[in-house]
Amino acid sequence: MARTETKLELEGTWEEVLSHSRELAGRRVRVVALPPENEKPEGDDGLSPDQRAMLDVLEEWKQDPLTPDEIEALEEFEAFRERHPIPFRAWDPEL
Amino acid sequence: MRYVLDSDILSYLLREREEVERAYREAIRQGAQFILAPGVRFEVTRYLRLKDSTRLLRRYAELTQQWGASELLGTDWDDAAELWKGIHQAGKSIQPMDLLIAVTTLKENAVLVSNNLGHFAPINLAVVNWAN
Repeated sequence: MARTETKLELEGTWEEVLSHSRELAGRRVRVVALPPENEKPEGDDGLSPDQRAMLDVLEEWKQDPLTPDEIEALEEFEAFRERHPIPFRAWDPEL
Repeated sequence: MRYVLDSDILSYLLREREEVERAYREAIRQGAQFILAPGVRFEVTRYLRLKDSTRLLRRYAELTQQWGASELLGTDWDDAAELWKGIHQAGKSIQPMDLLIAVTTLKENAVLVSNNLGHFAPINLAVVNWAN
């Protein structure tokens, strides 16, 4: 896949940026260290409405726990995924 | 940072698996963006529909409501074909849905979060595992 000419913008912790090291090998980069998250203004959790909403969903789930049947269904998901892959059509492997 | 969550990780979030939820919360707080890959959407929703679980489908909708959607269009399929050719010629293999999830991740300049790192080993892709 020819992606070397595209500009790639990354933001996150240094460790997260490093996870792209193979992709960035040999490329020119510019690194800007941002202030820590905890330097945000006091009284402001620094979260956008979308971030707040995503966290709120997780909190709401705590008030409405899954039933044992629902937990079991989710635990079986991976086995189902293995049993029912989405194959390409059969073809000549010697091609 | 942008993340594509593989189907297994999404299912762990739905069932509130502790270490995965902790990593997800941390990523949210760091301002990460989440991309819903069409392949993941298909894999998860076909199963929840099969189970006829209205509540789990609602959880899925709530979880992904703020995520960005990604579509595979035009040249994305050419990229997928080129990627598959390279894997095949190297004597390796990949499940078609994993290939499409990988192409979405590359297209979105994202990091893939999966508990099946081996599935994506044939591809030069940034993959992390929140489930260990």
